Amino acid sequence: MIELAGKLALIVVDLFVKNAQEKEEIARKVMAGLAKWDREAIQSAELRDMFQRIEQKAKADRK
Amino acid sequence: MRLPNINNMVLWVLFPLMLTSCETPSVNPAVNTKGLEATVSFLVDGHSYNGTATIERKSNQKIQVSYPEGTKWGLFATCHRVVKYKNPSSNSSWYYVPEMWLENVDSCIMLHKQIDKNGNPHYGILDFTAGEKLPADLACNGVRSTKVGASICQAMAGTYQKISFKVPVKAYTDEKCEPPVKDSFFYTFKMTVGFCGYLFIDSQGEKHRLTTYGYETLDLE
Repeated sequence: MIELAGKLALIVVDLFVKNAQEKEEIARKVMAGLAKWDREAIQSAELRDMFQRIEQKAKADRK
Repeated sequence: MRLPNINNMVLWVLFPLMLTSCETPSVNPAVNTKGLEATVSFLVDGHSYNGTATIERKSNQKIQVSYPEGTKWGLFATCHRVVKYKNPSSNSSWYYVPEMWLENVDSCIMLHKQIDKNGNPHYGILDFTAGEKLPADLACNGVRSTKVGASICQAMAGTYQKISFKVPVKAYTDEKCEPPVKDSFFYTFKMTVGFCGYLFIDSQGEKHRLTTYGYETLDLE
């Protein structure tokens, strides 16, 4: 009986630990995703710069 | 009844704890990948788009994004602004008013990133026309479409795509991008990782602006 209770306690502890680890892993991934966004967010401006360089090239070619 | 040995009990409790604490957390490779396929669905002024789209630019646009339950962040960026929503509600709307002479001219794509309940990223990309008029037939990732003025093509980096015109055109691109290869009225181009720009101009000076987004990883989440 006591052995069974012990096993049950172990399962509960194991679940608790796994759940905490999972939450920690999700929080880590969210932070990584936000950190990556700091660099990704300027891609629209960088693409605009690229098109401006291309326009310049086209203008020079048409002269 | 035999009483349990207290040492055994301690071992029973500690052993699995030691095992679980030594486990290496599983890492989604997509989180650290440079280019992830854009899959987020948008509803812009009542029309639905999936992943990427080129839309006619207006002075005021209602942009709706559907967020799966538990989404942690909804992020938007243009060439001018960055907007963030923490824990967005399932069907959020955003009235996008492009800033005059900044967001309503030239290329100014809207990038969207969602971070879901499991911390995984998902992307969406909206491109807007900016007065260009030259029509083109685009064969992108197995789908053919006719676009006037501007178009966007999303496909796996390294694959070949095709754009054709009814009139002779000259093609221009940046040195960072794969040069398009001409064959009579059509051009083939190889998808590079991330964003690239191509400009096609006919003898009358009419333009077609093509944006490409090459991804390395499919979004399977």
